[in-house]
This record gives sequence, structure tokens and C-alpha cells, in this order.
Amino acid sequence: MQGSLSDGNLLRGTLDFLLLASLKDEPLYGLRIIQDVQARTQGHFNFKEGTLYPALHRLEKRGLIQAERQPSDSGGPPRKYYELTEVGRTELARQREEQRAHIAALRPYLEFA
Amino acid sequence: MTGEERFLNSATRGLIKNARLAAQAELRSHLHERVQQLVLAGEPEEGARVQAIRELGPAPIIARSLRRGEHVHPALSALALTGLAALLLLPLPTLFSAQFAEQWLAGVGATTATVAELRAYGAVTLPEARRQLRPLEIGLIRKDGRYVLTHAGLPNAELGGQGAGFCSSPTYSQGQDTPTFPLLPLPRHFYISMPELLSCAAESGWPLDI
Repeated sequence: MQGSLSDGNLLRGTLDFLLLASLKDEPLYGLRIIQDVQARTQGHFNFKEGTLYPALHRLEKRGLIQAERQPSDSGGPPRKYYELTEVGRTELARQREEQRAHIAALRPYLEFA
Repeated sequence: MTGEERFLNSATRGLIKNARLAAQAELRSHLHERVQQLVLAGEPEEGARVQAIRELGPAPIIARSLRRGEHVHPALSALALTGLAALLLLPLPTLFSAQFAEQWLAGVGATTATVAELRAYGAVTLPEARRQLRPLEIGLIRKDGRYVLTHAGLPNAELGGQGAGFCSSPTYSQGQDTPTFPLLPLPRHFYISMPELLSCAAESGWPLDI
């Protein structure tokens, strides 16, 4: 994952959150997830695709998302769509609160610097 | 074999058969979709194929990342089991020192999160944290069984001290992927989050300018 921030550690910490959040409304396949995140963050977060699939597989193993193969409407090989599980929705809500708390904790330092 | 097939083979090397086929199918679908997008945007097909593969990143890195989350090839598993068996035959109990373990784990916490999960949340090892802090002339040392941040002219900032809010002590993973010392079942690395270090410094009254 790349971004306009230089701190790779901060960016890595947001990977799972972005993936879960991108699947909140509808099931998506890998390429669409990448492009959804790019569009919704106005290009701020740009996954290297080689990062995306291992991360998706890890979330799937944790039971936070589940995958289903569906035919491609472009005539290509079947796509693997990922969607949130109930556990994943709970985890997304937890991570969202965590992100909010993190930002709130940093805000005083950012505003008065 | 096409360049795309060579790439897919390389990017999934080391995975067991079913996982490898599934990963190849997913990456193949990704490449197909991306090539179509690029062609529709006016890119010549051959250039689109090259760009789609380039966007996926280096194949060995993908393979390494995928192997972290999957079972590895039986040949590699057998090698690992052989190594494990050799280790178990050694007189570990006589080598293990409870006193050393107590000293080593002083001032750190434990978590059930795996190393991969800690990394995903942005945690770094203490040596990595020290490297990032060194240009700021901030030290991260263990003193009297506690980890503290040091800086000339400022009070020591204790990690995970009493009343600490967002400031936690270093932690080690109890997950199966945590590296341990040879012959000693002790975690080799402790992890810390850099934003939490910032909180530790702030809670100790350090003037911060971000």
C-alpha cells in the first residue's frame, strides 16, 4: 500500500480497516476494491496489488470476510467476490471507533503545532 | 508458456496445490480485467499486459506474502518438521533458565495477536523503533525493569506507566508466528506502536511539534 504520507507503519495499520470498509455496502472483487479505495480516498491510498490479495486471504481466514466465485460479465475468468461476514461487520465497527479515537487523540497536537 | 503464466507460477511458488491453483485463478482474473480496462482506455494490448503485471508488483514478494497466510508445500513442511524434531531431541529444559526469562520479559506485556496482525496494525520492533527515534536524539532503553524514552534535558518518559492512557509498554506476540531464540522458547522481539510512543512522550510533558 502506498500513500502520500511517508510513514509506512501508519499506512500498514489502516490496511485492514480500508479493506473492511470498502466491502461495507456490496461484495467486490480485488480490482474493484483497489479502485474503490483509490476513488473514495481521492488517490491518497494506493494499494500495491501484491499486498491486497494476501491481506484479503488473511481476513478470509479470520472469518471477517467470505468469498464466492461468480462469472465475469466481461467474458473473462470467474471473479472472486468478497463480502463482509457478520463478524466482519462487528470488527469494522470496532476498528472505526478505534480510528476515531486515534484521530481524536492526535488532534490537539496537529492543531497546535 | 506465456509471460503471464510465468508470472503466475512465480507469484504462487511454494503454496500447496489447491491454494496455488486458487491464487493463480484469482490473479489471472485480475490481470484479465485490468488488461481489458487499459485496452478500453486506449492502451495497446501488449502494453496493457505488461502494465497490468507491473502493477501487481514483484512476483517473489507476492509469493512470500501469500505463503505467510497459507500452508506451504509439503516438501517445505517436511523440512520444517525435521528441524523441529531435531530441536525437540535437544535437552531444552536444562538450557532454559527461568531467571533469564523473568529478566527478559520484565516491563513488557503479552498479546494473543499474531506478529502479522501486530504488523498490520503498524507495530514495529524495538530496534526498528530505536532506528526511527535516533535522528530525533531520543533513546528507548530499559531502566530498572521498565522501558523509557530518554532525551537530553527532558524527564524520562515511562512506557506503560501507571495512569497511562494511550501509552502502552512494549508487547510480545503469543501467536505461532512469533520468532523465538534458538533453543529458548522466549520471544525474540517486542513490539511497540510509534503513535503510542508519541502519547508516552506527551503524557510525560515533552513539548511536541508534529
